[in-house]
Amino acid sequence: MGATLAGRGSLGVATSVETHTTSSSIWDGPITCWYDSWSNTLECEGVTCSTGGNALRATLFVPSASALRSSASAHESATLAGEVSRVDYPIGIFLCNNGCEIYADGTGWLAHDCPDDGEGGDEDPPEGGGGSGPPPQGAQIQLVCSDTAPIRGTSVSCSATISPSGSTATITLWSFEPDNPSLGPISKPRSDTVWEGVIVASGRIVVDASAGGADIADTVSIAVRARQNFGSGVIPMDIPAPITLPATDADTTMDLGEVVFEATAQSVQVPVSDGPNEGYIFLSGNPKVVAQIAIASNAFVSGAPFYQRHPLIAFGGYCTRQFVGTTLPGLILAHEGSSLQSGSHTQRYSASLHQQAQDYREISEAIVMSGGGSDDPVIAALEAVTSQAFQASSLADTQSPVPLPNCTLRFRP
Amino acid sequence: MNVQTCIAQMLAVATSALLVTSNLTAQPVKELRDTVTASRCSLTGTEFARKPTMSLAEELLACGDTGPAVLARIWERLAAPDSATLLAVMQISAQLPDTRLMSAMLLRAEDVSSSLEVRSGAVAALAVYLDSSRWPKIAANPSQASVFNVRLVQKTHYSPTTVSRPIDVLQRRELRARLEALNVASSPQQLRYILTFLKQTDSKP
Repeated sequence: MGATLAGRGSLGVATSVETHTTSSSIWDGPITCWYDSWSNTLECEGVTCSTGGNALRATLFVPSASALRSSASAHESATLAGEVSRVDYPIGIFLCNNGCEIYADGTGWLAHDCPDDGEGGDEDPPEGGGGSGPPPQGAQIQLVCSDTAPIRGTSVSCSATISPSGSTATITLWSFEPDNPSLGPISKPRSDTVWEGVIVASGRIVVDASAGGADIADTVSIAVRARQNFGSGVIPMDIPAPITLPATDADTTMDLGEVVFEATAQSVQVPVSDGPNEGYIFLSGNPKVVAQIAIASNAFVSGAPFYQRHPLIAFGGYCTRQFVGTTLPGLILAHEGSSLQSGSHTQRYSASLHQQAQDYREISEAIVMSGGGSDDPVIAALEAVTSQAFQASSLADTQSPVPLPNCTLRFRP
Repeated sequence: MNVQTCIAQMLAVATSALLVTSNLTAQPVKELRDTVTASRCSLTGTEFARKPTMSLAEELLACGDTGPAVLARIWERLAAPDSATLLAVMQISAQLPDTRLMSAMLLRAEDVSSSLEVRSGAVAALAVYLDSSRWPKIAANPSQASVFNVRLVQKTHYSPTTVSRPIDVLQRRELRARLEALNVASSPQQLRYILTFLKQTDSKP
């Protein structure tokens, strides 16, 4: 519903502004006001409205009456019509002695908002225009949190208080803006005065409220502290049963077996179920490293080109088919480290991780992710540590104490 | 630095570059010297282009000339691959460090209109050209069961196929620069996770 406010400046410039309005039982529909810049008051339908002297002054450009029926904002209307007047205008809320408020709604419009009739004693408009006391002026909101430096994973309760107590302000939105933008903000349109839950990420908690059409807000910064003694103990490494490579032939020893290392935090993920960090995931312990060994078993069986290339009986130093079929697989598994054999790829990798255990724990403690709990952020976060571990593991190929065949393997020519 | 020293250094650089190039190009490509292999590669390449499977990918590994050419064409038209297709194409491409393939994958990696899966797959396969300890993989995306992620893991024993047009030092440098240009805040987070590897390869040749 729209209302028209007509203003009259002390210099005799007649101006008017088309406005938005919210619910009104006192002024239901367009109203006309006159603005007196000397006293900073509006006189609307016989009711006086003032800012209480707290408003800042600004210059508002408003169109003349002939341009007012545009549905656009006052400034846009003025631009369209090319007829612009200007008037000094206080920014703030005009509180009227009938309980209504008139305010600039932030888009160039003016609006009025009146309390509903008969709903709640506190919101009843004062009778006879005078009322039992002045309505609250310049509603404010204050946000307080139980802990602004919580340990990751502990609960924090944030409360919003609106003042003065008789204000008609309503909380409209709670939000959390993380320091790490990749987490994405959390927004909850809700009117509760308290927002609480487990906090895992640093950032800002913001509460927004609407006070007579004007937006008010308050913010509290949260700086999360790391958990002490996180992930104490070993850094787990899983070595599942070896899988088979598809190849039936080989060009070099490199083709006979391999290990794929991959960090995963699937078993230690803890999702936050409610509150400012709802949907975020943090870790309850160290991610583990899965070392998946693969071996070219298909090349070590009768009929495979690699197998067939070897002689039935020993000659010329070449490995026999029996050696390829029975002994070679065990040597490869030992080289890769199916049982963390000393000097193997897996043993060297694991040993390096343990040398870097402190870094590994600190990085893991700080991992917070969103978006369902993929391991990708975990792998990326641990990159510095796992990269070093892989370099150490590579020494198994150049400084290998794992026994190598004492015969010559025949690779693809 | 005097002129003589400067010239000597320039000659040294030029000589080493020539040596690197000649070493790379001098390696024999079996397909180019063996008609039987060439014939088999031609058949495999045609079949793989029609339906890229892992078993055909293994056969294509023996094709240092046809393989990269076929894969380059596949990357050019790859639109919304299923996970099995993308896995086969990524992993075989990673083992064929060829300039034609590199160019095709770079274009897809940089093409913002391509699907995230294709861009991620191209970046992950290219990563192996710069760091042989990396290996592209497909992982389920826990947040959306029907969608998969491409990720880089670590793998021992990289064994690339000798190709007819190997990547030289300058091309490798350009590849790195263009991947670094993708590692910016405006790129999809999934790409940036994969590109994390660049930090750890700063000191590698």
